[in-house]
Amino acid sequence: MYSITILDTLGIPRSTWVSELDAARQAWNGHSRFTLYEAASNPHTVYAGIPPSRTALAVTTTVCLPGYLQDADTVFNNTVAWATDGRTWPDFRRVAVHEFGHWVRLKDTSTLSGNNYCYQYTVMYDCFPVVAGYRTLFEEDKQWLRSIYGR
Amino acid sequence: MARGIGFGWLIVVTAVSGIAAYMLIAQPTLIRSNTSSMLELLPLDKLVEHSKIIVVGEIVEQKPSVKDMVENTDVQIAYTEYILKVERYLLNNSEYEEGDTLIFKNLGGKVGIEEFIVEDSPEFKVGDRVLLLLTDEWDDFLKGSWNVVGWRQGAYTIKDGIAYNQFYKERSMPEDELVKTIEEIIKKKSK
Ligand SMILES: [Zn+2]
Repeated sequence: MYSITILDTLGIPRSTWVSELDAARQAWNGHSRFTLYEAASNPHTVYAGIPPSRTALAVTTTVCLPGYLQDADTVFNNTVAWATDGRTWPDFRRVAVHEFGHWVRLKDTSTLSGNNYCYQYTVMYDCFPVVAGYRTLFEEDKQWLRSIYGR
Repeated sequence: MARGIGFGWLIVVTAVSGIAAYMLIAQPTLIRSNTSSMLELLPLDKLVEHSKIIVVGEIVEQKPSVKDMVENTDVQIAYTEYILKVERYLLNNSEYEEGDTLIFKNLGGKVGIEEFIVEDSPEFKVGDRVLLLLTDEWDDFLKGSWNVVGWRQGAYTIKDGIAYNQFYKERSMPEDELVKTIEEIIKKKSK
């Protein structure tokens, strides 16, 4: 077990990070048989702090055992000047939507090779310069979800 | 500071097909930890500014990986030590005594049946010729040891005279051009 910290140190008002994070969670629901729920107490956490590298805006770690996902955690870098207006980078909700994509085992497009390198029309796009927006799933993302979890 | 109010997030995988997909991803006896991140892109002069040592050389040895906890979390991560045979130092802004070899640490590695994949950490193999921007601080996890600045951003793999940036392919350029650019940044900073 481990402690859960609130995201107030990100410099975003509490009511805002609560609603933005919820919107990021909802972005993944309703496209497949997969649903991402919020629970009061759960080993999977979202927290604020300094990630293993300071250049990371957010870091997600997932632990997979044979057959299932044992753990998923996301840390948002609290030394970053986050924006929530949807136009300014780094956009908190945009990054949150992307990080939840790692929870369902999707990969960054920059780590893909060949023709898919830095494929833009997905929330897993992480090549630079990243712009704000991209807060809802693209058709590609929905297809990935369905290919794993079914319709 | 308020404590105890938290966000727990629960993944509920309702589809049997989901579980089947994970079985395909994971090897039967392997525990796989995957660390993915979204990096802040730093311009080259900022990366140079955060560097204490900039070096060109060849990876000659890879040590067995070691795992450790990330402070204040339940997250485990592994690192791997590499030995670099140094061709030249472009910058040494530290107490470090320049030698023929330099040891640095890099996140990621395999420890027993556990594999720690750190997607934005640079990748090396023995025989690679590289240009590295290194620091012994800044990256809190590897503090006290030489490590690459800005994860993949601070590592170039050199092949046939071209230095390929491991993060941002648009930053790849001929080796001599990169060396010249870095030397000019260093000269400007020291003025
Ligand atoms: Zn990512």
